[in-house]
Amino acid sequence: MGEPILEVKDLKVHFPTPDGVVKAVDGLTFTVHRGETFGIVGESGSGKSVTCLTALGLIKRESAQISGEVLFEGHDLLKLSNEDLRPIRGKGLSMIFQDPFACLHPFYRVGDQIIEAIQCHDSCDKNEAKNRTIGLLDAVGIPQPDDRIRDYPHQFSGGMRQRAMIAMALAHNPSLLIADEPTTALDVTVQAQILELIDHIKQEFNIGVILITHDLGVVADVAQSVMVMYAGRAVEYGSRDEVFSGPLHPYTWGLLESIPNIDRKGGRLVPIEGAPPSLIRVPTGCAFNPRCPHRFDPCDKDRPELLDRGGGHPEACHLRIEDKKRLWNEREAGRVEVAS
Amino acid sequence: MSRAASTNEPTTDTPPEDIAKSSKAVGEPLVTVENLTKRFPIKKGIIFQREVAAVHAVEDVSFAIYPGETLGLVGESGCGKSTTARVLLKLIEPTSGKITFEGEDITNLNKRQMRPMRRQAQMMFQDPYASLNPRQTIGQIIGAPFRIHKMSGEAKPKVQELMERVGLNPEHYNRYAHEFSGGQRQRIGVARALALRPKLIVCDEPVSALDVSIQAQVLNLFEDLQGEFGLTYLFISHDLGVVRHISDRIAVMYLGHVVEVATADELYNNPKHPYTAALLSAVPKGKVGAQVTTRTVLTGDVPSPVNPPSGCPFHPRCPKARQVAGGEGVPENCRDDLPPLGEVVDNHHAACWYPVEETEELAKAAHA
Amino acid sequence: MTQYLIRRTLWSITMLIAVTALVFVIFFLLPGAAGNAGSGKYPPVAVRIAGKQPSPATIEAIIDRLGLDRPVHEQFFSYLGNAAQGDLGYSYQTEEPVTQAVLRRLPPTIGLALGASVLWLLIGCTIGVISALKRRTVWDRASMIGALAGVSMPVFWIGLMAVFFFDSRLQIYDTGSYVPFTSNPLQWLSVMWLPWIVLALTYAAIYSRMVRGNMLEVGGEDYIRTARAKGLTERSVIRHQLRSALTPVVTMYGLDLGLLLGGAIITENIFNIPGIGSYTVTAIAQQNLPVILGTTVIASFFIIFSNLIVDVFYAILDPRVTYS
Repeated sequence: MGEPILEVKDLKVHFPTPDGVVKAVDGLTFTVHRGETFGIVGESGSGKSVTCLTALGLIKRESAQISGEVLFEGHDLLKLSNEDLRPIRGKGLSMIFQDPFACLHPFYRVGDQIIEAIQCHDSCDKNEAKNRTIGLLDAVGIPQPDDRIRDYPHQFSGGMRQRAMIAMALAHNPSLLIADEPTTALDVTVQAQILELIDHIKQEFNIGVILITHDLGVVADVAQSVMVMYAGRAVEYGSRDEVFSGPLHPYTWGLLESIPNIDRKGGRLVPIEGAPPSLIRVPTGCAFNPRCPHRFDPCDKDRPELLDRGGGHPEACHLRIEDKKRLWNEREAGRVEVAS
Repeated sequence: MSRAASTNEPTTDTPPEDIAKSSKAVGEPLVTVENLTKRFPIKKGIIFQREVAAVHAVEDVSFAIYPGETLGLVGESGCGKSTTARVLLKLIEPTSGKITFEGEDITNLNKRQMRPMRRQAQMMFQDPYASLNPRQTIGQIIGAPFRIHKMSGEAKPKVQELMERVGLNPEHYNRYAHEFSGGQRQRIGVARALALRPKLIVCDEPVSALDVSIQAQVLNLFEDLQGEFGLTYLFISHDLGVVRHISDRIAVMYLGHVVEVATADELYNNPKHPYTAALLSAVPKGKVGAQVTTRTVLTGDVPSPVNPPSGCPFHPRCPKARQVAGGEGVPENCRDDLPPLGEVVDNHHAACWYPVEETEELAKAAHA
Repeated sequence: MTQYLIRRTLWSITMLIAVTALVFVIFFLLPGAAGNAGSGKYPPVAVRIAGKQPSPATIEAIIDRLGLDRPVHEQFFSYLGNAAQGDLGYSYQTEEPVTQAVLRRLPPTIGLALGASVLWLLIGCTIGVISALKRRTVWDRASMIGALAGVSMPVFWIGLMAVFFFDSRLQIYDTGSYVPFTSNPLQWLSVMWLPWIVLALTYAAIYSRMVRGNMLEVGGEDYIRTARAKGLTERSVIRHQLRSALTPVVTMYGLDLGLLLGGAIITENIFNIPGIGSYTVTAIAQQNLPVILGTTVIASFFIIFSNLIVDVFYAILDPRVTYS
């Protein structure tokens, strides 16, 4: 793994609303390194997208109370003004989004939108920008780029649009690419193409990638590090192998058990009881405690910090490490038994 | 044009009820579709519009669903799976083909004649936010089928019983849909679909909009209700894991055609159609240590259903066809003739001239 | 595209014929209608034209001259045939050719509609855009309260107040001194400014609310977030936003202008501008069928034509729209 390129320290993003304060992100710390894909997993409302939008300054500052630090290339992004942040957006730090159908302006040609992205950081003439655009489209696998550059977004398929978005994001050789659910709106075969493309780019340019997704399968396939989020906080954080072969948090267990397995018919799914909490009234103590089958005394009183409790990687659960290992093994055994 | 000809004559000799039976296939099928075709015309003209082309949404699809069984219908967006379901329920009229429900031919029934059948077959949709009327209480929503079908008696106790059964608090009878979360709304949808004790429920991507933890709850509910009420499901999804979990038997669609039908385990363990194989290999395995096999990544996009390829619809992207032809284009029969949905191995049907061998690894498809 | 235009033109002609037929039906067939003799001996319109205590001979002469005794369908088709050649008949009252009268009254109406529309477009879009960009500020709230007031006040009230205030009180405006632009541009301007403002106020209010709404909606679109994320300056982002937010305004503007070209009835009457609108009102009061028909056909033509123009424009502005 390369040197750290993004360090997030105790990030808090709170939105005051008439009903109360929405604690979208509530104390988050993590580091992304060059050359790694960092997977952030969580369900809707876990704060995974807000974290990245905040880093890019895409959350309106006047609508939120933001604290903490986001260090990128020697700057604390949270302290930069919008004007100072602009030269970083799309240059050192670029982002692609979930819905490629909505992310390109429907009235402008795809080529022009990329040319615009090139020209807003580099002062080059239109012709040079155009040639670079054709090169980028070619690099992300769009056939006949010199023709397609004149197309409008609606003339592109979903996969092609996501490729165009990636081309745009790569225009200035960023050191970090944030991909927010980049394949959720796409079909599986197209998803495979896009994931492969992102992985290829990561290796070729040795950049860092943050991959935000709700799909554990995607993370397990392409990420090197994983952070599992619940209600605005990290509940488990480690390398892919650590988290997937020895998960230590009951929420991670629940997520893993909720997914129907494609490799075997499997027995009954074990869903997580209840529903995610309102971010205005997050339960006291551990936010997951009302849904946790293993909760005990301290769970609804003390909030567990994200610590390595001896399991090899940080997690936020009061259970003793022996109990965690035993419980996970039991749950695994139970699952396999039902399945066979 | 061999393609035009192929749609006039059935592409399979197997009667629909015998295509890849599951263990639940006993007695008479509940629903059968035979050579079902739906084309949406594209019209042009100054005053008199003439048909210049058509979207080939569903092409010569045949299958049967037996009572108590779940048939999964998978495929990527635009493959015709939702259209198939809507034609099957006669929400849209088929262009040709035959639909049988409980032995009765319902293809040409009009709206009024369809009413008794409507009670027997319900549909559930993907979006739990859009499919519920925001001005109605959930009591009214779930009770609506009783009113529409002019059932006698007090609806409220029946509705509350249903709410209890699908895991909703019956005291919430007078609440509005927006007061519920996505998972609970989908439960409301289930209760509404169940109200008239139908035999068949067609589920169109019913869990796609839900978070994984909630998705598992709803899938379990589907399974429980099937056991309790003896329901038959046609379950449409693009999520291959979900479909495998819930289905007894699975049909795979590509560009309007059913390209493969087999029992769930058989299809996933031993896919015969190269498209199915590619689809399965594209799914992230979500497991560490699983050897990173060379994934068959299909290149290019699905062709337009307005102008589908000749012969086998998959041939322009097919990795197997390229292997067979030795790197030089594709074999002639793939290009010219539509392969019939034939029994490749025991109880496993696929529409392919060169079905995939059990141990075969497909290479990356060449550029279309 | 050509095919689309041909089809639309054919439809437009059909629509015009249908509108004409409808006016005929209303005039001749409905009970109590002006051209319908009903239980009386003569159609009310003939009696009216004949004046006070006419002899039956006079009335019959009038009926004969106007052809009111011919079957309705015969009158209708002869009207259509003449109209196709640009002849819209003769006024029952003055016997002036309707075509000529309409053409004479068109310039004031066009002047009024165009002037007012430029005004409301400028005011509405400016206020709407600034309000959206400065959302929830004092400016935004003040202008939206103003817009609400503008939407709520009826034109006839604003018009009468304006006349009362500027003419009777301040005496800086002279109602009813209309002169054509060609004869004295300065005086024309001195007459038109007040009706422009009066007519534009309500529209400006509607437009500012619409533009503000569009701007806010587009501001929440993913592609605006993309524009920011790729590092565009805020100016360029706003340009992207305007491109989407103002496109629907073109549709709205075309339709509103088309409607007004058929005559701004209230404004023309209040300010005594000799346009199509005031002509129509007089004709209706006099049950002057050829004039009513003529102005209706002209108004319908403008509405249908502006619809067509709007649709064609939309295809140019929005690349997703094609007419094939």
